[in-house]
Amino acid sequence: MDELILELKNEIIETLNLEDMQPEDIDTDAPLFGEGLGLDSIDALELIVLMEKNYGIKLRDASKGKEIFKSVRVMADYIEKNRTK
Amino acid sequence: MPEIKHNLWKGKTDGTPWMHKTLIWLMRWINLNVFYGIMALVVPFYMIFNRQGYRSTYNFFRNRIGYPPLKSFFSVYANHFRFGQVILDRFAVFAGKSFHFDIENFNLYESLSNSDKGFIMLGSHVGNYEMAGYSLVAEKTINALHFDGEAKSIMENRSHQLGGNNIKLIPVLDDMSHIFLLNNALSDGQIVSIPNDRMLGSSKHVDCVFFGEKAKFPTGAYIMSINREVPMIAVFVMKLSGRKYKILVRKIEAQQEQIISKQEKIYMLASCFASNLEDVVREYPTQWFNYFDFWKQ
Repeated sequence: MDELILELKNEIIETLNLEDMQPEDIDTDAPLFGEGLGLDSIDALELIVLMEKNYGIKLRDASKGKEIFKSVRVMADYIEKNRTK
Repeated sequence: MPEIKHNLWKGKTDGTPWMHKTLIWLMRWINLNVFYGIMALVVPFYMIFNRQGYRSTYNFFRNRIGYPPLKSFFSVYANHFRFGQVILDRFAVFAGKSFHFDIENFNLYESLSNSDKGFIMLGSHVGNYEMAGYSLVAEKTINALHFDGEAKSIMENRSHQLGGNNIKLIPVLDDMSHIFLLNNALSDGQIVSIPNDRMLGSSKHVDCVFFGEKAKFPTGAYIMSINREVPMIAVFVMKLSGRKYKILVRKIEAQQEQIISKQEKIYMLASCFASNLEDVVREYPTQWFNYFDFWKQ
């Protein structure tokens, strides 16, 4: 799980172009949107595509997506259980 | 980055639902030219009392287009009158009136509509983009993103008229559900329509040269196009005369001879859109309907 969390943090930094950040700067349990990492709706789009392309998970339901994008840990947990890639 | 809604423009048609319904009812019986005539008389009051709109439009003609003072003043009148006509035309459609559309580059639109892949249609606040929904009909569903601040009576009429043309309206909401809906639509090979000259929902933008000075253009549509690997077109619906419109369809693409980064591609796409928008506005300057300092948004 820790390996997946680190991999995910690196992917988030690369996909969202968070140039000044390192994986250790991202709190594993902090909210991704609003407070915490402070991502917005366009970042959500990037994360939806990241989940689909890298892990074969298609997120079509907004309410489910919101739950999954709560934090890096919740995302990693969901990926571990549902990944097809 | 915080979620933003445009603080200078609320995306809402003036008047109460009762006024809208009455106007639509009257339009069923009275010639549209009568309403245009009344609009011509009302416009000077708008120029006097809507100071921000007057100032930004005057500055636009004076500093961006380069007109002399008197011509700028009369162009503000012409611009407000055109805007009034465009709004009246939307109500006229609700009342069942029809308009004539000439479409330039229809083959491009047709070929994209007939392909299995989805595509993105970019709109802007020039001319009467909403009219594209009544004329550019496709077998695919068009998912039109819009600001969620419009009056219920307007939205009901819009949904009623556009629903028959296979158009689904998607409001920008704080819960980000619009992002999921747009992404689903493109995955399913449908069309996504996005107003692309104002920042709604996200504050992410690129600075592109527009009329000689850098202006902010939102990046959402370009990121969507790159991620989902779908083509993009810009559509401009320009009013020519009373019942006649011209629809311009332009391809938005990054001219790349070598592999470039995603950020560079976003910039190239945004610059292509800004350049097409500038060309159209130069040809139809009185149909520029951004009533705020566009370069400071």
